[in-house]
Amino acid sequence: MLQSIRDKAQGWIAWVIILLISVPFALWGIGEYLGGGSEPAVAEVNGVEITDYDLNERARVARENLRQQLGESYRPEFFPEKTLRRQVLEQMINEHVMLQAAEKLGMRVSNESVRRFIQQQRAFQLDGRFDVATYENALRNRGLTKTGFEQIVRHDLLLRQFSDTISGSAFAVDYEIDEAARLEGQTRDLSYVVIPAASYLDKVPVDEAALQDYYQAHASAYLQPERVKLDYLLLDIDSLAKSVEFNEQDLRDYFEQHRGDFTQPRQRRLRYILLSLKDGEEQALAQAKALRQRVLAGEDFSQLAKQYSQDPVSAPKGGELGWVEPGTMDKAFDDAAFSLAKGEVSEPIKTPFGYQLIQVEDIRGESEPSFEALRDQVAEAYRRSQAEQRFYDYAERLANLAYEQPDSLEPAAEDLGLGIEHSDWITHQGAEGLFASPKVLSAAFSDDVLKDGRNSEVIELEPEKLMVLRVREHEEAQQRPFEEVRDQVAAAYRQEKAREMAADAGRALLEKLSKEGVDLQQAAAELNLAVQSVGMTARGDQQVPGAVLEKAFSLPRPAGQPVSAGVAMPDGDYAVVVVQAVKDGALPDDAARRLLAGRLASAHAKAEYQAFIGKLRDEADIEVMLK
Amino acid sequence: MSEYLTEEEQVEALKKWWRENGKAIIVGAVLGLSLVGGWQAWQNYQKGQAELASAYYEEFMLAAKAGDDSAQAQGERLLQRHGDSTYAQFAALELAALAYRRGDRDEARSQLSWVLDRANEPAIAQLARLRLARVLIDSKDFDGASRLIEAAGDDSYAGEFAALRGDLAMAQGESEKARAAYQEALLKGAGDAEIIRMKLVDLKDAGAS
Repeated sequence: MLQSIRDKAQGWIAWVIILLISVPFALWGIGEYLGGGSEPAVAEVNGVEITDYDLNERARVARENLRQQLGESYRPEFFPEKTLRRQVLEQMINEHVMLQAAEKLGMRVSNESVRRFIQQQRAFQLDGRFDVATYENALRNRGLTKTGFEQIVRHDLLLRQFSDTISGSAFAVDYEIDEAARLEGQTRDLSYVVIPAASYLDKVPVDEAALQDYYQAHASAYLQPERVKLDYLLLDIDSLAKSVEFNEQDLRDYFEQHRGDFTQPRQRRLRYILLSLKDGEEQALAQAKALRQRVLAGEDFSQLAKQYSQDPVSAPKGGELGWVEPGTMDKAFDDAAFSLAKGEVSEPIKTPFGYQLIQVEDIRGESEPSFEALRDQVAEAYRRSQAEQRFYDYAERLANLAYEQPDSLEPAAEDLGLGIEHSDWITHQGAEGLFASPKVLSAAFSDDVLKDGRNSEVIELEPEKLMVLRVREHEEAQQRPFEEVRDQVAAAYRQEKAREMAADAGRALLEKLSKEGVDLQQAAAELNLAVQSVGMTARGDQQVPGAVLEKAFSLPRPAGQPVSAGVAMPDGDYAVVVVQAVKDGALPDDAARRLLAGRLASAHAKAEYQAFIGKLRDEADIEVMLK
Repeated sequence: MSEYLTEEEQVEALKKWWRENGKAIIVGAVLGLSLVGGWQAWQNYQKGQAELASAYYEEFMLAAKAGDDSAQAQGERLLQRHGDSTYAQFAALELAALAYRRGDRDEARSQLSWVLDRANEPAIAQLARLRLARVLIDSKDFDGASRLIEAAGDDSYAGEFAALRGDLAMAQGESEKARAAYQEALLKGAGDAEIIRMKLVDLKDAGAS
């Protein structure tokens, strides 16, 4: 058998075998091209898959952008992962649909355009010019290859051709502009009366049965919200410093090693008098000598400085120089200043500025620092430095122990010598101090901590201030008994009834206006209310309450008779609005017309773009697998 | 069968076969290769043309955006040279806007009509139809506008077309129809809802007076 195969190995059988062997090689990896990759797909657009991996990547970028845009006010729970992924997926589907349409429509972006776009990006420029190294670096940092990035740019440019085309070529026609000007610029002659709910508060009859009914009907308003009491460990430098132990030798060693930190530099507080040489050297020297004698005879140095010193800065301050260290002044000046005793006055010193007299007011830093005198200071510094050294080690131990023994804080507390602290009740709204932090709240109410009773992860409150917490007590939201909230119920009940009474009064007033033909002034006067006659008012008016304005502009145009209506205001008062006349708007000039035309065109562009994408999506075969 | 032939007989048979069929095979191969090559070349040419049209279009759009005088000529040249491309349709949309802005309604109409006739892609055709209908209402060609709007169908553009139907009815003084159309436009998510609501309020008194 084998022999016969060998004989024929150069014949046709060999070819058959080679053919058979080559088939699997030829098909090797074809699965990748057919879209059968190992990543699960979340959607399919005309058979092209959007993978879970791609979606995650885009959702991550989207979240990062939100975080950057919102800064401090960013809260992850505002953007639940599910919603965000859904939105990002919709966006990705739109892009796929458009790119496939572009392909079908024979739209292309040349390499040249891609290159030009890349070269124009600020991020890839150095000194205002495109720089290859900067470009390559930037891509590496984002984990992209050149080909990959160029493909992204190409797609981006294609997508832009769609949006630029629609927005660039959108225009508003004349009749629309006229109509918009007429309606948006419309003004209405209006007056209104506010009937305050507060004026009926005292007239609300209150009986217990009604309150009970009200309480039953509004039970959800009288809930004690879900709340927890927390146990927690706090790790920061201050608390660590307290637990640092030491003996005298530790302090002495520390003092020796950090002597410089405790040494007071050699300084003298000085006053001086400057006599310049402009009237000749001899005269200056003579005057200096004379002044020295007067000081020695008991005259005040600062008075003489004020009177005679020719240094414009220090003379008004009595020649005061403040604390001076050696080496900051002229050599001759230094030598004299640091050789005098406290209170002494120097001989006249010659410096390039002239003759000077110096008086030493005070001296410090002359003696070596002594450990005994500074012991408390040294101990404090020692504690801090030890605490700083230990912090990261402790932080790691805290994280490990809290994680490895998730049912208790005790092991971590014991190992690190920290005390377990207890909070009062805390709701989702948070509480004072530490418990106002969104990080703490989201940890406290997370499933891990609340439902499974584990320790939280380490929460970084501030740099070098860490917390681990667990829930000690938990209370679901629960109904508060009537007795406990009776006063609140009564207040709310009266508020509501007062509103109703104000509204009733308003409706009665409206009735008078329309049926009996009484005018607003007169009807209001009967109720002791003042009429606000605001006259011609525009839509965006800031003086008139929003609810009144909105009502006024939703009323039909008066035909002969004024038109009136009532509106409940957000604060519970009731307003009666009367529109006497309506005047259509008109554009003041061509510039205003162009502005309005531009605004209408962009509104068209936005709507048309949405419709355009919607149409492309209608034509595509889209399947969404994301749950 | 070949099992019964010797090695030499096989070679002989092969040579004979080649003498009979060799020419045909070579001709076939050459033909095949040149077909493939030609197809490739054609594809490359097409790509090149599309990229050229794309580049012209981008230049034209930049000029149009900047209000450049040369924009008009650039757009027309694109239409002439690449009339079959999608970019020509895009350019015509822009030329229509330019024409309308300078007051040439007829030119705007003809550009938009051209796109409407040409576009194979319904998303583009509907866009042209919508804009053309707007221009027709504005030119008081109510019958023409009405025919366009009625043929628009019910798709993602329906809200916009309903708003136009309202405008058309208003222009013809039919406030009942207008009210119904505007309400439909709001339901179908027309873009500028604010102004449609104003129009609806304005219609309230039109009925009363």
